[in-house]
Amino acid sequence: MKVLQRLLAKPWEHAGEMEGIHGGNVAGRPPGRTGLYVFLGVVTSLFLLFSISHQMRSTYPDWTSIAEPGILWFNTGILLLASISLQLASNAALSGSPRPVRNELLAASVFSVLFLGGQVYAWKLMLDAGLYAAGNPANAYFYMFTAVHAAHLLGGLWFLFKALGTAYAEPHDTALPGRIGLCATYWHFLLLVWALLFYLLLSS
Amino acid sequence: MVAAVGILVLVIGTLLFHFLSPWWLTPLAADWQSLDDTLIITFWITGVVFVVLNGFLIWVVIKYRHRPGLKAHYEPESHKLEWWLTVITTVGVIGMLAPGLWAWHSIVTVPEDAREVEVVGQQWNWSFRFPGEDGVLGQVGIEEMNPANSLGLKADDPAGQDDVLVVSGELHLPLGIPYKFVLRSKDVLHNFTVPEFRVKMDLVPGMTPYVWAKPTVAGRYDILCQELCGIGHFAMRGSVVVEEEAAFDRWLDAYPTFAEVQEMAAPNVAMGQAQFAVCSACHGAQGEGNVLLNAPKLAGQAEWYVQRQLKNFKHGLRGAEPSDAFGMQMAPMAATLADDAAIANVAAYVASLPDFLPPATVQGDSKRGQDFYVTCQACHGAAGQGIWSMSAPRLSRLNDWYLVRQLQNYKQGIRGAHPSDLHGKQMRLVSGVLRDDQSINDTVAYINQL
Amino acid sequence: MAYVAIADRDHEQHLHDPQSFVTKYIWSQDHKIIAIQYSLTAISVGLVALVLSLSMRLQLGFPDTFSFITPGEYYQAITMHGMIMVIYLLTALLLGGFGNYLIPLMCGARDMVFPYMNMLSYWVYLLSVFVLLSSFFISGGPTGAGWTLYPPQSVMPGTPGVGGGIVLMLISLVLFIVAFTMGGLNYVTTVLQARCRGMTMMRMPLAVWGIFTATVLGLLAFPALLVSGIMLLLDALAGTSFFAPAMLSMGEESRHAGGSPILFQHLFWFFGHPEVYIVALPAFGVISDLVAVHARKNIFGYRMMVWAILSIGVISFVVWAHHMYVSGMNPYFGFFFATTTLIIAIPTALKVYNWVLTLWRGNIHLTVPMLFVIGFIFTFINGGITGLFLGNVAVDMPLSDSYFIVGHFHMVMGVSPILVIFGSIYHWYPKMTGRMLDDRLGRIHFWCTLFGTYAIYLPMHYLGILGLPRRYYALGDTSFIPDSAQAMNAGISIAALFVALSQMIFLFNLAWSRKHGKPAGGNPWNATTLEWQTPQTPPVHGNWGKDLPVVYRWAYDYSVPGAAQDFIPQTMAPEDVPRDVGSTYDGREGAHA
Repeated sequence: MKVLQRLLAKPWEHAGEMEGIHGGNVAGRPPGRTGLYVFLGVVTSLFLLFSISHQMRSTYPDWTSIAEPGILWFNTGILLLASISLQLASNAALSGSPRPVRNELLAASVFSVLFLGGQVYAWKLMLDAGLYAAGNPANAYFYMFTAVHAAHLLGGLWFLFKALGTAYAEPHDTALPGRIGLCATYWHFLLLVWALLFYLLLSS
Repeated sequence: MVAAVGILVLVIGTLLFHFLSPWWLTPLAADWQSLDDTLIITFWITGVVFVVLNGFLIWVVIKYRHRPGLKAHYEPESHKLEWWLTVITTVGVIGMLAPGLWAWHSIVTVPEDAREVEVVGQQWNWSFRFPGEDGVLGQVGIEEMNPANSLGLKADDPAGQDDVLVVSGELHLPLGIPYKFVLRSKDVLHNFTVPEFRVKMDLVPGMTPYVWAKPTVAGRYDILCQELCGIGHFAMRGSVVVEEEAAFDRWLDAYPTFAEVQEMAAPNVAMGQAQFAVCSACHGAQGEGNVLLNAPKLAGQAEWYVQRQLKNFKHGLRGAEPSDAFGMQMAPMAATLADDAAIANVAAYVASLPDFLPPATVQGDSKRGQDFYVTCQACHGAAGQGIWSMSAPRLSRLNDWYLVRQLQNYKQGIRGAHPSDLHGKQMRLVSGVLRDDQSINDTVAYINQL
Repeated sequence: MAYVAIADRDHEQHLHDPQSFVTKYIWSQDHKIIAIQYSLTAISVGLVALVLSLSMRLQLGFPDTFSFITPGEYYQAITMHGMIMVIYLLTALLLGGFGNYLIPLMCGARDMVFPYMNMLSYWVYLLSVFVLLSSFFISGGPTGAGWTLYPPQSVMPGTPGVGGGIVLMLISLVLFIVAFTMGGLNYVTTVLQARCRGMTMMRMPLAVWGIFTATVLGLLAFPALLVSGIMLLLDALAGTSFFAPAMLSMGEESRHAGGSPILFQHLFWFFGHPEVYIVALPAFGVISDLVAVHARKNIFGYRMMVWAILSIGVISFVVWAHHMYVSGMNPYFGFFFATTTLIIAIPTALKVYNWVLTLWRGNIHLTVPMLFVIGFIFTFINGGITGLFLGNVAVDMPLSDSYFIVGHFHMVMGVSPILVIFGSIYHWYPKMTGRMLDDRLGRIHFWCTLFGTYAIYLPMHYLGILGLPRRYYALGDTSFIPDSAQAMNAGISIAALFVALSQMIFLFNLAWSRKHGKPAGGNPWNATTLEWQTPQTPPVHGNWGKDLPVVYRWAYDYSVPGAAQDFIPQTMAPEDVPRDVGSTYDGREGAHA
C-alpha cells in the first residue's frame, strides 16, 4: 500500500520538501542483500519456467515414469543440514562469537560438498540402470534439473568458501556477519528450489 | 518549420501510397469476407488515428515552435483530458477487437458439414490425403514411411484402407463445399498458406492442427509454405485448383486408395525388359546412354524417379514445350507405355541395370562448384546419391552433359514450365542460384567428383 | 548512511590513486567507461548486422543479378541480422549502454552499487559477441534457423549451420544472459538503493523509470530464453527430445521422438514478447526526457507515464502467444491473447498522446534531438497502429508471416528505437565528451534516416497485404504477385543502401566532433536533471566531487511561472531559485498546485 501511495504522489508539488525524503538507502538494507533478492528473483523465474516446461512435457504420451534413486532422500537431508548450519553460523556471527561461526561454516561447507557428491552418485546409479538422457524425457529432466541445481549451488559455494576463509583469517572483519547472512539466505533458497525439483521428479 | 513540413510530406505520402498502391489483398476465393471486413475496419480506425495524431503533431510544431519571447505553458497533467483520451482509445480498440473476435469465432468453429482433407508437408514438398468413403483418415506413423508408402499409413488400420493418396503438390477442391484442412508434417515446421483463402496455419510434427475454408471462386491458386523450414523453404510450392464438383470427382478418381497401392502387383522386371527394347534404341541396351543421340544414361537411377519422369512425359508435364527439342522426342516414346503398370515394369528394369561411371566431358572449377553444391545437397544428398523422401533424384554418375542441359533448361524455363510439374517448378526456383553457364559447369564438374 | 561512507571512501581512493590507461579505459569499473564500451561494441556488431541486411536486400531487390549469396547464406544472414539487432545491439545498447551511463548520473550515485560485477558484465557480453561472430568462421557457418531458432528445424539437417552454428549461437545467448543478469542486478539495485538524498522514485526522470522497468522485465524474461536454450542445446547435442518429435529426416527416421515444438515457442515468446518492451521501455523513457528538455515544458502527465510504463511491463507477460496465432497451438487461446494484446495498446497510446501533449503549448526548440523526437513519434504512431492489425487474431491470420509483419516490427522495433538512440546520442554526447555534435550534419543525417527508412518499410506493409511471404530467398513465379512488386522490391533495396550510406555521416560526425566540435559547457540544453549538474564535464570517476548532490524537486521544472529562468535544476533549493521581477513565486510549487 505504501508503494501505491508513493505512485499516487504528485511530484511537482512540494518542491524542496525534504522531511522523510531520502535517497534509496533509507531502508538500511545493504545493497548486497537487495542485490541477492533480485538475483533470487531471477533464479526463481528460471526454475519456475523449468518446472512449467516439465509439467507440460510430462503430459505427452511418450513420458515414462522412473523410480528416482533413493539416495536423493539422503541428499535432501544433507542439504537441509547445510541450510541449518548456515543459519546457526549467521546467528553466531551476529552475536559475535568467532568459534561457533567457524565450526558451523565448516559444517555447512562439508554438507554442501557431500550433497554434490551424493548427486553425482545418483547420476551414476541412473546410468548404471541404463537410464540415459536420450532414452526418455523423464530421464532427461532428471539430469537437467540436478545439473542446473548443482550449478546454482556451485555459484553459492564460491561465496561460502570465501566467507569461510575470512572467518579463519580475519574473524573480526565487520563485513563478515553480513556475508554469512547472505549465504544463509542463499542456502535456504537452494533447499527450497531443491524441494520443488525433487517433488516434481517424484510426482511424474 | 522544416520539421513540420517534413512530417506533413510523410503523412500525405502515406495517404497517397495507400490509395494509389497497386498492391492490395488478392481477390478473395473463399468464404472469409468477415476477415477482409475486419481488416478494412481496422484500416479505417487506425487511418483516422494516424491522420488526426500526426495532424495535431504538425500543427503543434508549427504553432509552438520557438520564437524569442515565447514561454511554455506550465501544466503538469490534466486528469480530465487523460481520461477522455483513455475512453476514446478504449472505444476504438473495442471497435477493432469485437469484429476480430467474432471472425475468429467462425475460424475456430468448423462447420458440421465440412469435409476433410489432410495436407502433408515435408522438406520441401506437399502431398495430400482424402479420407475416402468412410470419412475417416487412417493412422500414420513415421516408422511406416518408405518410397512405396511415402505418407506412412499403417497397413493394419482399416480406416486407412480407403484413404485416397495424392502424392503430388497439386490439390483439387470442389466449389462451395467447406473443407477442414488437417495439417500434418513429416519433419519440421511448415505453414499451409493459400493467399486467396486468407487462412493459414502451421504444420507441426507430432500434432495435427487444422484450419477450414469454403472455396467460392474457381481457379488455380498457389500454396506457399510460410514457416521457415530450411534451405528450400522458398521453393516449397504447391497449387490448389478449385473446380466444379464433377471435375473434382474425376480428378480424385484417378488417384489410388491406400488398399489399391498395397494390392498393386510387384513390377514385372521381365516384362519391363521387353518394353525396354524401344528405349534401348537410343539409351543403349544397358541404359548406358548415347551422347550422339542426346539420350542420357539411365542405369543407376532410382526406380521411383524413372517412373515419375515417364509419367510426366506421357501426360505432357515434360517434353511439351516446343523449345525442348529432345524432350519433344521423348514424349511420344513414353506414350507407347500403355498404363501405370507398364511404366512401373520399365522403371523396375532400369533400376536393375548395372551401374558404372560414365566419362567426364564437362570442364569446370569444381572448387567453385562445391560452394554452389551446398544448396543442391540439401535435397540431393552430400554424395549426390538422391533422397527419395525429398523427391530428389540421384545426380552422381549421370552423364554430365545431360545435367548441364537440364540445368540450362530449368533456368530458361524450358523444363518445369507446366503448372502441374511442381518438382520442376522447384528446380526452376533453385537453379536461380547458378547465375550463368560457368556456374553450371563448375557445379557439374563438382558432381563429377562425387 | 552506510552507503555514503562507502561512497566517500571510493572517492578518496580516486583522488589519491591516479589510474593507468589500462585500469581507466580497459579494465574499468567506472559505469561511464563501461557504458561507452558497451555502446561501441554494440554499434560495431550492429554494423555487421547492417551489412548482412544489405546482402539480403541486394538478393531480394535484384534476384537475377548478384551471385554472391546462396539460399543457405541468405537464411544465415536473416538469422544473424535479426538476432544481432534485437539482442546484441538494441538490448545491449539501451540497457548496457544507456542504462549504465544514465542510472548513476540521473539518480545521483557515484557509480553502480557493484562496480566489479558491472565490469564483468561487459567482458562477458564481449565474449558472447565473439562466440556469436566466430560462427561465421567455422565450417557450415552460422545457423540459418531464423532468429526465433524454432526446433526442430534449427537442429535438423536441411538448415544451414546445423552442426556448429546453432551450438555457438546458443552458447553465445547463454553468455549474453549471464552478462545481462550481472548488469541488470546492478541497474535495479542502484535505482532501489543508491539514489541521492531527496530523489524519491516519483522524482526520477522517466528515462530511469523506463530503463529500470525494462531491466526488471529482462531479469524475469531472459530466464525463459535460458531455459529454452539449454533444452534446445541438449536436444542438439545429447539427443534428448524436449522439443524434437519423431521425424523423417533425409529419408530416415530421426533419433528423436515425442518432443513438442510448440513448447519451445511458448518459452521463446515468453521471453520474446517482454523483449520487445525491454527495447521499447527505455526508448519510451528517454524520449520523454528529450521531449521535455527541448520543448522547455514538463512532461505532460508524469504520473500517467509512470503508471503506463509499469502496466505495460506487467501486461507484456501475458501477451506472448500473439506471436503464435498460426503456430498450431490451441486456437481458442487466440481469444485471450488478442484481448490482452489490444489492451496493452491503451497505455501505449496514452504515452503517445502525452508526448504530443507535452509539445502542445510548449516552446519547441527544433534542435537535432528534437527532430529525432518528432521523427520517433511519427514512426512509432505508424508502427503502433500496424501492431493493432497483427495483435487482433483474425486480422493477423492473412498477414502473419508476410512482409506486413516485416514492415511492422522494423518500424516499431527497428526504426523507432534507433531514432531514439540517435536522438539521445545527439543529446548526451556533449555530456560524454564535452563537445557538441555538428548540427548541420545531424540534420542531414536525420532527414536521410527518416525518409529513407520510411521508404523501405511503408511499401513492405502493402506487399504483405498482397501476400508476399517473408523469409523467401526468391519469389519466382507465382499466380498472384505482379511484376510491379518486384520493381518495388528493387526500390526498397535502393532505399536500404541509401539509409546505410547515410549512417556514415553519423559515424563521421561522432569521430570528427570528438576533437573539433563546439565546446559544450556543463549544461548546453539547460536541462534540469542531475547528469547536467555534475561539477566536471565529462564527469570524472565518482561523478559528484566531494559531496553527493541533494535533490529538491522533480525532474521536469521547466518554464515554471514566476521563475526567472525557464528551467530549475533538480539540485536547486527553493530559496535559491531566481525569481521574475514582481513575482510572488516562492520556488516551491508550480502554478497549477
